[in-house]
Amino acid sequence: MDPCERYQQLIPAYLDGEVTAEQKGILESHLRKCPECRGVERRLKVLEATLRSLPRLSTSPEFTVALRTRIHLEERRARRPSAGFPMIGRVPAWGLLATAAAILLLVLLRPDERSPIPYHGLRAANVEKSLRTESRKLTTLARRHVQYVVERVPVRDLQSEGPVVREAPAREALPDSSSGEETLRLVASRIYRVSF
Amino acid sequence: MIGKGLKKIEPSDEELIERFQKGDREAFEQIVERYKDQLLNFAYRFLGSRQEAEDVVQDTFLRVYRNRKAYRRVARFSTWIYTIAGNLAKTELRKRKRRKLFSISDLGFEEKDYEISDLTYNPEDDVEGTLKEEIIQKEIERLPPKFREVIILRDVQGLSYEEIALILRIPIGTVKSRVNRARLRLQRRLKEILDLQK
Repeated sequence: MDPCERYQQLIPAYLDGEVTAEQKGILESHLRKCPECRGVERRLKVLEATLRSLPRLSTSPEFTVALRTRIHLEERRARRPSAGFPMIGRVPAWGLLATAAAILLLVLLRPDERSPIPYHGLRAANVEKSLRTESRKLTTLARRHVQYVVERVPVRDLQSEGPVVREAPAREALPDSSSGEETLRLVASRIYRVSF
Repeated sequence: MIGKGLKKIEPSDEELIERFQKGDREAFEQIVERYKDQLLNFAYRFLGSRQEAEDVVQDTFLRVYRNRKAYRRVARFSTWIYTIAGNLAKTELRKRKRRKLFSISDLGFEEKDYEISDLTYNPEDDVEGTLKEEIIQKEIERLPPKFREVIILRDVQGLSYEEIALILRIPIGTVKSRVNRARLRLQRRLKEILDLQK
């Protein structure tokens, strides 16, 4: 072992004030004569400041709505247990069908893992298509990799909505209901692997 | 006059979760507001993927919601929620490793070679800003998970050694020695960047 390495291993604890008085004395006298170890000491100080000041991320604008939606869906599911569905093994048949649909969707859409909201136009088209056939209040596409949840809301609420709606550029692509009193709103562009 | 000089006192995390246990949904929303960004930063620094990090944070809150009755006031709420988030982040990492092994094993690459060999550092570049942060993040990700989690909790998130020990359920001495080793390793690997900084 490089003789300096033993001193260097003590430096982080020394900077934290976690060494004994004896260790402190020995280390400080070594630091005075060893520029290499002083370099390590300096870099450790800079590292600590650098890590503490790394940029902070914020959750995406749809985060809270997506979470509420997941909770809502889960509670609804808990209230209505899926009785009467044929089972394949321990999994209901509809579950397998939904999984198959999800895989197909993923193959078609190939979302980029690192960019959270990239393909609105393309996905919006899919949402619109599915809405035409979907009559439930909440529409979900695909199992586990759900891309959108759409909710029916009065127009006036939509107009007074805050950032969630503004952040969802696919909104214009969604169809208005016939009455004009109600429209379909994109609640969240991504529902974070919902398990149904 | 009574109350004149009193500021509005924010409820503690523990008060909020207790209110939520009694059915107050608003208290849960407040917990989400308080923790979503800090947990996101923890998970992002650990996983290096924003999307996976958001998934982990979503799952964390969902677990808090489902298992709210399991929380007991003997532990701090922050310890409890960080334990959940940390476990989910580690599970995510294991899943990713399995995917990665599966996808590159046929090519015969060692995982280590696969990491960031193309990310060469040139001091001529603009080290202020994105590039610098990217390099630091990559080096954090190169640390073994047990070193990575402690240095993120300690030096990025600023948690105490005591709390980290409780979160990870390891002795405090182990936390300190892991933090120190992680710092030394990062210091070595980020030498050029750190030397440029005053």
